[in-house]
This record gives sequence, C-alpha cells and structure tokens, in this order.
Amino acid sequence: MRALICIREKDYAWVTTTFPGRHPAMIRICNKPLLEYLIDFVILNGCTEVRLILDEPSAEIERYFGSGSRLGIEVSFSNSKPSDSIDTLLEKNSKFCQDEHLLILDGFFFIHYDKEQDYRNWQEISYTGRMSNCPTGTVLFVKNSAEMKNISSVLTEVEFALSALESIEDIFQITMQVLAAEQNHYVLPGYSADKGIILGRNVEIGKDVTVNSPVIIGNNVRLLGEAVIGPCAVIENNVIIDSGSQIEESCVFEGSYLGRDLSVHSKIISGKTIYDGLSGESLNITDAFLLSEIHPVLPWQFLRRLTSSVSAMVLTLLLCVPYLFIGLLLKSKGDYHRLQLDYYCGHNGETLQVNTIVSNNQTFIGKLYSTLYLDRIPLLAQVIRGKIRLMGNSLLPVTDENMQLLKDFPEYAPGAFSYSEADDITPGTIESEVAERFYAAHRSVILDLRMLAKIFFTGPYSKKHQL
Amino acid sequence: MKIEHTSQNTIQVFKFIGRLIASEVKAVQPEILSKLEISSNIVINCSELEYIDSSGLGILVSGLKRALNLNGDLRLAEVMPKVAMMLELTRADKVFKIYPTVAEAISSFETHNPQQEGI
Repeated sequence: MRALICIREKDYAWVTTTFPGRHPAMIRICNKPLLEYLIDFVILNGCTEVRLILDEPSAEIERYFGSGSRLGIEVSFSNSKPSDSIDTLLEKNSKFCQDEHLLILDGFFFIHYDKEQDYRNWQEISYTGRMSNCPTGTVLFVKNSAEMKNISSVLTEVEFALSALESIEDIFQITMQVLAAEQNHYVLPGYSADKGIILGRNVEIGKDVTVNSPVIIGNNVRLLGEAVIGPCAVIENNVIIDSGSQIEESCVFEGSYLGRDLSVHSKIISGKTIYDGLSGESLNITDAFLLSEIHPVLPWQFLRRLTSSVSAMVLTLLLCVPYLFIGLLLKSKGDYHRLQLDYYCGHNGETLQVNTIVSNNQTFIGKLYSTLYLDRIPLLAQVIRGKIRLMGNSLLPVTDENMQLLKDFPEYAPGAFSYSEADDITPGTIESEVAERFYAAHRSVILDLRMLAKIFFTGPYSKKHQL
Repeated sequence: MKIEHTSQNTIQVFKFIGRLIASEVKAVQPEILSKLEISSNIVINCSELEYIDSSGLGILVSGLKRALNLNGDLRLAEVMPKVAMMLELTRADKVFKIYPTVAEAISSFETHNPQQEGI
C-alpha cells in the first residue's frame, strides 16, 4: 500500500505568520514534527511508500526525512497548486497511485492513533471512502484510483481520530493531551528515564532541579539550579532554563532561553515570544534576560561552505593558466576525449552532472594534465557553487548499486578531492569503503585540511584513479 | 507614554497610556514618587497600558515599596492580557494586588485601608 500526504498552505497559513521560518508541517508536538506523526501513522497502516505533496518544495523537510530510510519507508516529494483538488493530485501522481491501495491524508491536522494497534487488517474489508475527517482535513482510503469518483461520504468506523490544527491553542491542547494521556501511543524522541519522563541527549540537569512527570526534554538542554520542570512540560531541543524558573503545563520551543526566577504556566515559549496556550494571546518580550532566542555561536555550515568556495576559487585561479596552456596542447594533438558523468552529490540521491576532459596518461602532456590536477577544474566549479566539498568522499557515479549504498551511508558528502585519494587507496575496494566511512564519520575542518595537504604533498594518484 | 492623574478621597489614581518601557523610566518614576508624598494609597489603571518591560516593572515595584514604607499600597486595576502575561511571567502578580476594575481597586482601600490601620 502507498500513501499520499498533502499539506496545503490554505490550511496552515496561520502557522507561517505565528512561527515564521519554520515549515508548518515541521511544527513540533511533544518535540516531534507533526509530519513525522503522519508518516508513522501510514507506516502502521502497512504503507511502504509515501509521497509528500506540498505547495512548495521545502529543503527543511527534504533534509529531515531524506529518502525515508531512517523511518523504514520510501519517501518521495511532489508539489501541488493551491487550486488542485484531490482528483487533480491523483492525476498528477498517477504513476505513483496506480495499481495500489492508497491512503490519502489531506489537510493540516493531528492524528490520534496508538502504535500498539494494528491498522493493516481493516483495509481488506473496507471500501473506497472517507475514513475520518475534521474541519481542516480528511483521511481517505482508495482501493483503486479509478474509484475516486465513487467516494462514499459516510465515515468509516476507525480506531483513530483527527484533531484540527487551526490555532496556537490547538497546538497547545494537543501537546498537553499527548503528554498527559497518550504518551505511550506514539514513538517519541528520547529515552524514558522514569515513568512519564522522556529525556533527550546531552541534557544537563543542575543542582536541586525538580522534574515532575509527565515531562519531555529534548536534546542539548540545560536546566540550571532549582528550576522546576513539570508537571506537563515539553522542553524542546537546544533550550536553556535558568535557575529558579518554573515551567508547568507549558511548552518551550526549540532554541529558546528562559531567564531566572520566571513562572510559566499554560504557555508556549518560542524564542522571545510567549503565547497563552488557552487564549492564544501573544507577547514579544524585549528584555533578553527574560526570554531570548538561542542562535548557534558560529554558523559553522556557512563558514565551512564559504571556506571551501574561497579555496576552490583560489585553486581555480592558480590552475587556469596551465589549464589553458596544456588544454591548447592537448587539443592540438587531439590526445583527449570529453566525458559527461553523473554523480551523486548527497546521500538523499541528489545528482550532479560533470563535463570533463580526460587525457591520455601515457603521454607527457597527459601526465602533466593530471599531475597538476587540471582534471579537477570542473569539480572545483561545483565546489564554488556549493554542490560538493573541496575535501570529502569519493564521488559515486549514478548507478542502482550506488543508490543502495547511499541508503546506508548518511554521512556521504563528496568532494573534489577525496579521502581515499589522500590515503592513496584504490577506489571500489573494501579498504577505500572503510576509509571513506571512517573519515566521513570523523570529519572536521582540521582533518579535511590535513587530508588536502597530504594530497598535495604526496602528489596525484591518477595512476590508480580517474574522476 | 502618557499618564493621567486623578484623586478620589485619599486615593490617587494613575492611568498609564501606552508602553511603560526603559526609555520612560526617567519621566514616570519621579511623577509617581512625588505624588506618594501626598498620599500613599495608589491605584494604577492599566486599561490602556499596552506593554510593560522589566524596567517598567521596576518603576511599579519601587513605587510599591515606597507606598508600603509610608503605610500605603500600590494596586493595579484593569490589567490587559499582554501586561498580565508579563506580570505572571515575572511573578509580579504575586507581589501586586490586582483588581478587575478601578472601582473595585478603590473600594478595596476603603474596606481595608492600610494607611488608616497604620500597618
């Protein structure tokens, strides 16, 4: 069985104004993205493939779910126009939908289900129709896409329920409900330290901090001395609660700092904004020592990319004179051939096309061409564009076999110069796979610089490797 | 920020209009403290107080301290939701007596007047 999850802007527009910079489908309920609950639900229904249909492509969502291998389902993405009806969406995704039973989740809502329930059996006896709905969405079961016109408007009796998400009060109420009464119905992030207490990684609990269940605490959280957390508190990832503050029946969203000796009851804190969970009233706090947003000290990703791009630019400038000179010589002798290759540039299956010139390594000019790394110029252009790194994994050509390999290799980040090359290991061997995975798991700016220096000091390895 | 001042018997009523924030401290604080010399029973009408920050709260707390020292009190009335959230967040709602209307705040002084009782 397959599933379509359609989340449209018309249903979630209010979220974009309330929480700018965050895709509404990624809004968290008990520190887990809403969309992940929906995907978990379709998995419980026996779906092996899911297509996420959004109004616009979202890098945030694609990065989070990737190919779906982490969740055990094949995830693909598609876009829709706001005016598209379900029929139009099915038509647009006809290849995906044909010859399969289809579960359609259309709208912006939360599904109350129970992970212990088996939702797979009822489909055999069900007919095409509407299973459940709420003011902001519907769950449909379609035995065959051709039957879409005969959808029954009668609701099927099902063992799950939908909750509309129309306001911040709904988010608050559902969060509290899941936390207090349905915590065992879902797979929630973290480990269960005690009954009703779920802790993430790297949680620092200060002296005399009181944690009253039920509580969910995310990753990288600091609770400073004498803070009182709970009952009914959700502290998301990357949060600092300063000493003496009390959080009760409230959620603190990702990247928030809560100052000293504050009292938070029935509220949602998101950065420097506080929302009343019952009335929806909001207040922007201007005092940074009361509430503030936590930003990473340095935008490492950006800095790394910038360093890579600048280094690639410098290298390209250094190499362009010999490239022109040797290129002319190669051209005059006709001792070269053009090659167009497709490579994977990310572990999610994104591809990259590289047009390059391959020289004959048996001739002096050909050797010089590879000795001076002139064959890397097309790749350096991709580094400047930010598609690949300067130093990274060996580029994997687009093949089914490599696609399978990438599913188990989430750290894959290719570079113009590779780790195998630095260690002078022949690609495609077990040794090179071990080296690639080892360096990918332990990569750092220092390591990358060291490996790059190693390549330049030991010379090219083009005797063994081609692009 | 604008302040309107009226008196009812021995009770002084201030109406704060606008935002009570750090930049207003210099103007507002002397005005309240000077009036406290006349009578230390004060009601702040917050019906048009849009926002208060920690410096604004500081003014109210220092006014309350001075009033209590003079055997009076500083009470809040008609607090708007945004200001109420700030008071709750900083636990100032436990420090001030808060009334739904100005009339109730005034009558609370009449039924229980700390100045008359010499507390």
